[in-house]
Amino acid sequence: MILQQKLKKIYVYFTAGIILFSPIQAHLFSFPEVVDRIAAVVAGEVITLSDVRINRAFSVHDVQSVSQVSEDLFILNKLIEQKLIIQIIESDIIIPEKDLETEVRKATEKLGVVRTRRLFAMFGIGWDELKECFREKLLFRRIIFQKFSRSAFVSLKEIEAYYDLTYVPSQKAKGLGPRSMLEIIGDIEAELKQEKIGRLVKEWLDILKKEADIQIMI
Amino acid sequence: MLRFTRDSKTLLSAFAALAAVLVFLGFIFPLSLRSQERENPATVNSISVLIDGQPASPELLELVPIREGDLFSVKNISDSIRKIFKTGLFLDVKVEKQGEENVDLLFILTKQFFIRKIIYFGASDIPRKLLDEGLYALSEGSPFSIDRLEKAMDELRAVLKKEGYLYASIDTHTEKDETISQIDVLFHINTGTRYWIEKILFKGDILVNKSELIEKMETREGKTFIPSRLENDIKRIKEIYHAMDYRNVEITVEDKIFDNAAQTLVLTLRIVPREKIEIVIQGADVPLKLLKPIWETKIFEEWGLSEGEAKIVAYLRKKGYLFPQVTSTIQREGSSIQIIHKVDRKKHYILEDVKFRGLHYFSASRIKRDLSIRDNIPLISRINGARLFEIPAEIKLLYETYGFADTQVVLNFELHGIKATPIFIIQEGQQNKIKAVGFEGISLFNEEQLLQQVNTYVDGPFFQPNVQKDIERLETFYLNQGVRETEVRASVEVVGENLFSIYFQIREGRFVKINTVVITGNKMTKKKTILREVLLKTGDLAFYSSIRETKRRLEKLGIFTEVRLEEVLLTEGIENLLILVREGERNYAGLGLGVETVSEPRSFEIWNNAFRLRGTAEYIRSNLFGSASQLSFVGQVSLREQRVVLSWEQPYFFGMPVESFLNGWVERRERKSYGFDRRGVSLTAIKSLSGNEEMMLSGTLRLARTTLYKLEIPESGVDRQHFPYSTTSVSGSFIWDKRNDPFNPEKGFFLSSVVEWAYPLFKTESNYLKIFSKYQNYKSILPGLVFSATARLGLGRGRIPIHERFFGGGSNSFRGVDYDELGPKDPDSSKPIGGKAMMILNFELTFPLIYSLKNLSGAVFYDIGNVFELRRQVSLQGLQNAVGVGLRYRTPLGPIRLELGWNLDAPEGQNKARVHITIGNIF
Repeated sequence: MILQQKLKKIYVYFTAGIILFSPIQAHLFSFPEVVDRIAAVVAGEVITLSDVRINRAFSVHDVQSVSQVSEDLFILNKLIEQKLIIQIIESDIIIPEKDLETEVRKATEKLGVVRTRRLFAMFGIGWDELKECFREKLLFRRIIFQKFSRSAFVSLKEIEAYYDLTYVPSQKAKGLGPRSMLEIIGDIEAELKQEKIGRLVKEWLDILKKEADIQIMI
Repeated sequence: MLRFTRDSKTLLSAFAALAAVLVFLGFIFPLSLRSQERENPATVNSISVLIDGQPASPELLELVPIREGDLFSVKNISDSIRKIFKTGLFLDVKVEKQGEENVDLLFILTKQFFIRKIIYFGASDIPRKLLDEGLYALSEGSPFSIDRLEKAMDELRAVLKKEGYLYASIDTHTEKDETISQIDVLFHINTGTRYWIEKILFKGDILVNKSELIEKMETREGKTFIPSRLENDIKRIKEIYHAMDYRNVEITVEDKIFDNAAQTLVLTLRIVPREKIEIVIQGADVPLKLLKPIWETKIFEEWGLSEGEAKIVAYLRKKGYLFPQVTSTIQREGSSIQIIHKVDRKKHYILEDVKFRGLHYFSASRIKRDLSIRDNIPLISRINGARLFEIPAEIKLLYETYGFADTQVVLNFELHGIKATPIFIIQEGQQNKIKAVGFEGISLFNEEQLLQQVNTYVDGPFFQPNVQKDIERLETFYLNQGVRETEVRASVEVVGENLFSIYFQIREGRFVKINTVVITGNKMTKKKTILREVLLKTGDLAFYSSIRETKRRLEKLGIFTEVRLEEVLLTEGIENLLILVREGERNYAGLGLGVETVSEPRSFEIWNNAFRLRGTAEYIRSNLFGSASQLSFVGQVSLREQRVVLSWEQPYFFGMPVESFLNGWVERRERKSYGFDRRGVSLTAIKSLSGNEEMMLSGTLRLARTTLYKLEIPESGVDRQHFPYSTTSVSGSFIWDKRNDPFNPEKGFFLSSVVEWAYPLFKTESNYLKIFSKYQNYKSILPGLVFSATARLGLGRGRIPIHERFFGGGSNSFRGVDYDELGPKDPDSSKPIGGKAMMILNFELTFPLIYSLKNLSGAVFYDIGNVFELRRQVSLQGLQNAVGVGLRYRTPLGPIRLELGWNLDAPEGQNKARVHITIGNIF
């Protein structure tokens, strides 16, 4: 009986305490949250953490890695390369409005209207700011294309070597009969050209990044 | 309500379940609320700023462009981060928030440090200059970061490698001065050892004696291996092969075999001479050195041949062969290439003055002046035959700038025997004119105001680049009126034949006012010293011209190595003006050694010499008490004269913007007929009457005590011989300097006038009035031909002691006599006694001597003047005359002058000729 009475008292006090203090728990136990910060500085121009988050939220860049931390660094690296190239190359390329709208539409369609609206509200941005993200990406791509598309030449020997050493063995490994070289020569050339351009671009960007004034803060 | 009639276990279980539910509701629900995007925007409740962990000063709080009560938005936070970073004061910016509806923001800033000094330890045998030149990532005054430090270390390693220190190690440490955000970077260099060259091997087709190659090299067997030295050696070896016409020789380091134990290396150089290229010029004496550089790199042969032909033609035209013909071929034999230029010089002509035909818009003299086309004046100037053929394009461009887009210019010649008169036949064509000028989108200013800013006007010439300049002028106008973010474009419409209308489309920004002036970077300098120079205050419109003028005034104080003004926009129409200064070194010490002469150089005896050594020492301490004041000490000593001056200089005088100097001095000086010791104090105030300090007014109060220690004229000739003579005087002077260059003027004028009144104050004996005026004028008649004239007039009244009288004569006044020798003399000692009046006029013509030596010129001069004992003795008949010739060599501090003056009125028996050597203009 006495134990029951004691337990009853404990029960009453505890319940009262929970009910009384719950409205301010959110405040007492809330931790400071980093809203934004400098992620990198490229030749005096700032890339903020918000820039990275916006790019990630709207999938401006194709992200291949898994964890969020790696994604952020990948996107940051892309933004650094974009800023660097656009600063160095004085380009008069104008990205047509139509192309920008296509990119923005693709991205927002994936997210849906409600989610898009919520992200706009969360980041405090609108359509213009989002278009600017895509504009920089497209401008970067076009500068690269302009610079390297003609310098990557694929010789017949390289195509033959690829056909003999890569394509045929891979088809056989899958249990498939390889198509003739004449049939797929175009595809092989395009793929090899893409690889070459990718290598040239990477080398060029590595040199530029080494010589540029870049500070990464995160 | 539950009844506690069951057993305790059941009770406890129920209790635990309820607690769990309540905890869940109490903790998790608010969290889930936080993670949802808010439909209702939050507001900023409070803002705190930490800089390097410490709360920011109220001044630096102003840098944050967000205010309490603003709507919370991530974009605004991003923008504010960018604005704060743009001030240049911070390396990193982070923003944290707490709260949901009412957000508390915390700005966490990391200060940007700037490099004050870079110090190297341990590389004593490498010149500091070499290390500094190889360092790009860091420099004194630049921002510091760890990334840059890493790069700097790589750069230093590269420099050390070039000097042979292949395995140097570098440690760094830094010393921060938090108060002024500056940092010293110290590099501790452990160079390690270098390698010795055991052997040098040459491979390839060497063609010359190895010993000849080794003789040219500084890299030798037995010496240390220094890659930078080897690079220079390779260049020298290449010169040997170039001289043998192997212009494309390749010399590479094929191999380096290191012996780490013995610290030696074997070096192998491979030489590939490639083809021998011989240049042959037939038919004219043209120096091969003109053409050799063309073939020193791999080029298209056709291009090389035409480039060679162009150089030969230009060379011959300069020599007066106006119509040479050149044909070129290449012949190959084995590995040799012979480039043959066959030249037919044709006839040689002497060029006469150029003529023009078809001119209507411009006059011939205008074209000659604008394009610097010289007339033929023997010994003075001549027309360059090669340039003649470039002038048609220059004339065409000149016409284009005045709206003549279709001007045709042809160069013809009138040939008379050996003389050729160049004639430029000009078809001006139609002038493009402006029919209308308009402005669209304006509301802040009216059309009339904007029209005044542009050079484009109705009926004026149309030239597209001028329109671009007008755009820049309009943008500057808006900035100067305090308007920001204005964009100006121009559209040009063709409205008729050769008629254009120009419309400036202006997207006006908005007026911006100053919220606060924030000053940072000053450690010694007081804030009020800086604010005194700031032309803007809270509430003022942000006039860009005032911002620029503020920067100029701060720089003029001479106490900062860097002054930066940044505009930090807070909200629309409001900005902070951020002033960043970097204080300079405050101590300066200097030593100098020179030569002085006042007499004609006749001997070089040490004691009685005409040239005397003079030493100068000075020490300056600037920015005293943080008020931009300066204390300086200067001492000058020679065998005959000594001077010590202590000066206090400040930019303001009792709060007024008047530069003032308080000087105290002690000196001993020797003149022709007397020598004196003097000590005194003076207070001088200088006020510039024009923005660019062309016109200045100054006033001086002087108290001096003079004692004659030497006197070579009778005592009756002076007012006081043995006792000190005290002077209290006040003087005022006016200076107006419109010369194009104060050291080597070629045009303009200089006017100065001084009035000195010495009054018997403080028991002094002084009682005189003196006035001295000087006027100089320079006129450039032709390039290099300058005529100059100077007039000097001095008048005095009252009791003027000898050391205050006027004296004349010497290299800087009247060149027919020695220093001080002009004017009345003591009849017994024949020493000059000076006078109360002086009048001297100088006329000089300087001209170039050797066309290729631009700094050397000759001069002829005529001086006329005299010094008179009394004012009433001044007369034109009493003036002496001197003529002379001279040589000048121009230096940045003025010309070195060697002059021979001939006194036409020298008394019988006296030497009429005088030689003067000095530096600086007579004027």
